[in-house]
Amino acid sequence: MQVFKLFMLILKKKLPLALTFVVAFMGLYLGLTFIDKGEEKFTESKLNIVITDNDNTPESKALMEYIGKKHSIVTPTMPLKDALYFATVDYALTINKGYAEKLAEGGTDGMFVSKHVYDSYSVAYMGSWLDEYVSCVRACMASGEDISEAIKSAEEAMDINTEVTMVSSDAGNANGFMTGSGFFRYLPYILLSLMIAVLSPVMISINSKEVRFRTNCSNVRPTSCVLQILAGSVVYVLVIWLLFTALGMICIGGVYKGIIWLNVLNSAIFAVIAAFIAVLVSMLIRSHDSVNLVCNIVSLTMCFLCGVFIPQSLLGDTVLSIGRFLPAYWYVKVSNMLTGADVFNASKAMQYLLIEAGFAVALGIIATLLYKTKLRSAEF
Amino acid sequence: MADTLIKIDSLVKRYGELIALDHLALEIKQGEVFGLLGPNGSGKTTTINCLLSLLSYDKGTIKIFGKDMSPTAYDIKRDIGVIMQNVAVYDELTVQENIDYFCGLYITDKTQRGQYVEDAIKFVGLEDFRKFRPKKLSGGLLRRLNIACGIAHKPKLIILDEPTVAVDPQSRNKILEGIEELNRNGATIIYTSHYMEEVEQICTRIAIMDKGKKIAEGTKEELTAMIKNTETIKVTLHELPDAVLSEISALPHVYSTDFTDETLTVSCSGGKHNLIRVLEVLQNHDMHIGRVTTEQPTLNDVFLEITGKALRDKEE
Repeated sequence: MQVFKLFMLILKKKLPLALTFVVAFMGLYLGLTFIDKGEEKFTESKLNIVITDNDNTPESKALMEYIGKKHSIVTPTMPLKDALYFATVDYALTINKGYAEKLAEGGTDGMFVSKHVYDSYSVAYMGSWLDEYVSCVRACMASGEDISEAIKSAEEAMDINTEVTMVSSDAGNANGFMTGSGFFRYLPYILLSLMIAVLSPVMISINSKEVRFRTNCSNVRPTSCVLQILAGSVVYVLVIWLLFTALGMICIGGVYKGIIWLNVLNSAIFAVIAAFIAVLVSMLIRSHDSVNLVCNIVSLTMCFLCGVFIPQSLLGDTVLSIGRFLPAYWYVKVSNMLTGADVFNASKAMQYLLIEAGFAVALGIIATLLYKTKLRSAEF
Repeated sequence: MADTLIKIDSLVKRYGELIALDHLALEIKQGEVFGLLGPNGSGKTTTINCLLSLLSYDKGTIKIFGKDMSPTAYDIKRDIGVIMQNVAVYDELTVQENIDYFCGLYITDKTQRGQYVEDAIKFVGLEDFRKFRPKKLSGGLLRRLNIACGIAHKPKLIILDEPTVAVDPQSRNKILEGIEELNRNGATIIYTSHYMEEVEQICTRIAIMDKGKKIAEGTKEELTAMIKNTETIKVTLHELPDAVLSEISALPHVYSTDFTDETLTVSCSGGKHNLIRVLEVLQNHDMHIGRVTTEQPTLNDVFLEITGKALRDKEE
């Protein structure tokens, strides 16, 4: 088991790098999860507004009444500047004398005076809201309505809300699926990175021409040598996969249940795929320095094309067409079903898993053939 | 008479049209330091690779320790140590870990291996560097590590393929002394090089190769006896009239003379007192003699005379 021990010894020297990847991934994942919390819940925000009506006309009263429906009209308990400073009041609006006349005549200047905290969002919000109100009233008047009808129509028009749908790949508890789905969705990236950045350099070192020559001169059988390298790789892949399966449980706060186990199976197949890709990389490049570059290119390209970082529903048809030829695409398809982002269909999920397994087998065959070719070409 | 350790018969290796080894026959006895000498591309490394069954060959037989050598002859491989021209160690492992790994390919017993690794470290003088990674070692120390990895399992046969390429003179001497010590400890050595000085220094028997063929074989003395030149006399002079040069050329045993760059070169074949006779002629003509040297024929002279070309490229 000398070659196996060597594999583990070299792997041990790469563990700090692997650990960095794991910590960075978990840090980013937990950070993003924390930031994301509650983002999907929208509530209409109301401003605390102080209104001074200097016009005192039905039009100005109608405006005050409508503002009152949308926001809170307050009476400050302290001087206005202090109230604005301490944010007990967001906006102080004065309806100037002559507001009704200007509204009817189409004038715009000097209708309102406002006091507010400089550059605050409430200024922009209230400013545009008032502009919209005035524009709506004028538009209705222009269509032949009198002022009172125009005000009524404008209010109705402004009450029409645009339906906003929050697109999320994590339907979470609402659909009875799982929370923390982002963990499994991002897993292809970390698996590819960990395999290529750690496993490839180990394989490059072990299979370098000079040392392989020396090993070939010894009384260790080549088959035994290959099997020991394989055993080392299997141990590494297994440990990484188990680690992330366990971390996944921690992230979702419990043991996987029911169909969620398919996510575990999905990640297992992808871990094997990532390992074969790492083996291929180790055979195609010789320099340790190029590994990181290749790692970034392969992992980021695959993840962007297959919808790991951006939901597949937001990707263009061309991108998805390319993605179909990559294993991560099918991984994400399964993952989407399990997180409720797509409708769960057991037979389809199995079909996708089989496609993934097909990728694993194909990559394994290519890696084996390439390894044999390389061994033959190494003959002096 | 010592036992034959290696017997190569009629070995032929072709690379397409190129014949790398042309009916090569060698016999190496136990306890020898056998030198394979030849210019680059003469077939030395191909011979070694065939010998180790790392390379298949077209014709011929190879016997080591009296048994046929093959890729699966693991009992033979167990007793062979290989040190190649290129340093073959793991950059990720320390000096000690490297030696332990390569020794472990042959020795499974941990206690015995520990002792062997210690012996190898001491042998190459890397005691103070055992925790160093190869990248931290100088070129000479790296070569020593390369040797330690090849000999740690105490093989009976050690094959060194140009182990001193790109090594500084001090480290080269240390390596050569080490090889002689390995031989004294009982190992049979095969040493390939295109540095004739090294081969002359350590090898008890030498085979000279060119274009895949063995062109001469024997001890250094036997090889130099094969050629016409037995002594080369060089005398530094300001001038040398043609008449004097003709007189020297006519001396007994002198077969070639040359005067270039104020140096008279006289090549002699056999005979005694050649130097005295040459100096007498020069004194008789009141020539002002500068430096006088005599040289015994080298392996390069042997190679030059047999093949008509120098053993080493000029730039080497």
